[in-house]
Amino acid sequence: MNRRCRASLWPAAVLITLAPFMGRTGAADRAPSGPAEPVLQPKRQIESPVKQVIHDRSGPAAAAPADFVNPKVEPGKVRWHASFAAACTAAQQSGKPVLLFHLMGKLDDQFC
Amino acid sequence: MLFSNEGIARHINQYFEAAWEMVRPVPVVRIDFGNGNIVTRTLHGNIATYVCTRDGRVLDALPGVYTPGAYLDCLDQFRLLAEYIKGRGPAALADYHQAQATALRKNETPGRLVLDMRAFASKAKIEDPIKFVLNPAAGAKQPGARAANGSQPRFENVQDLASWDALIEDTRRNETVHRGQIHELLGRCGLVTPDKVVKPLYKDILQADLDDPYLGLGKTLFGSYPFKAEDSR
Repeated sequence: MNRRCRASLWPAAVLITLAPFMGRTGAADRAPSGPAEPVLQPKRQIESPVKQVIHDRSGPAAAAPADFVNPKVEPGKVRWHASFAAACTAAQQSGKPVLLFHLMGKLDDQFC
Repeated sequence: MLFSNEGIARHINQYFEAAWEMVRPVPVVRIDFGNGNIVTRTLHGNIATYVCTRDGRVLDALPGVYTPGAYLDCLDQFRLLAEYIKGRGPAALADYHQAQATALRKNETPGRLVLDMRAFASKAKIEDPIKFVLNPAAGAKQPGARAANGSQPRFENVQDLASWDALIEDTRRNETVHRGQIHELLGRCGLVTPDKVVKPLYKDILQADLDDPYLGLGKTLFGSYPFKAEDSR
């Protein structure tokens, strides 16, 4: 083992040596009287009840600003077929030509 | 709106089987002035009206907006065109478009379809009651004059009158320049379904390229925008 490896192992060695003395109180350090200190609880057990309280006592989240809603309107007084194909089918029966109207947006939207 | 007009709606319901289609969502501009006032407008919304055979092939088309009177006159011409072509076939339709395109290119009055009134006066059946009259008589309506055809609405303010004048000008341009382009397009395409002509019609005639996400307005919107570089970061 070269000097570099030994140097990198040095901190681990220190920790291993000191580990028995970390986070533990020996009998000599205990208070002379009174109950034993509580065992530390996992984070989940502490936070879950708090989260539940906040959830139960909070109102609904503020609604995000609504997207623009284009109001619906009657598309004029023309009897529109549901589709171009439907108009063609009707035309085969009636003998009339087909009138197709193209636009941007929808004819039954206020803004079109 | 045109289709709220009683005369137009009645004519369409009587003589056509009608349908409408959305070619793309309409661009909507909303300006929030921050004090509760919001103005909503559509941007660059263009329309087209096609007359088609019973099996869905385009005979003719109107580009853009028209005054109600001019629109009604065009619809009646569409009705007669459908009957005229029914007994004649694609070659007659090609001749029709060529004749109309030529007349409009020369700034002449385009031909009109007329119904031979003897068809109603005589008991004898008249073959081909519908005639396509080239260079119609002086009494025939000029495309520009047709724009102002029909009853003029009552105006409550100067803005409404200005809008009406703008509509007349739009009609005149649609009936001359744009119709000539449509006759040339349909003359080239022949008898096709609307999906074959919708993109060139919108792009080349109505100046609204449906494949352009900004409908040709990109340069206007972003060309001189001072914060373009900052926003793109």
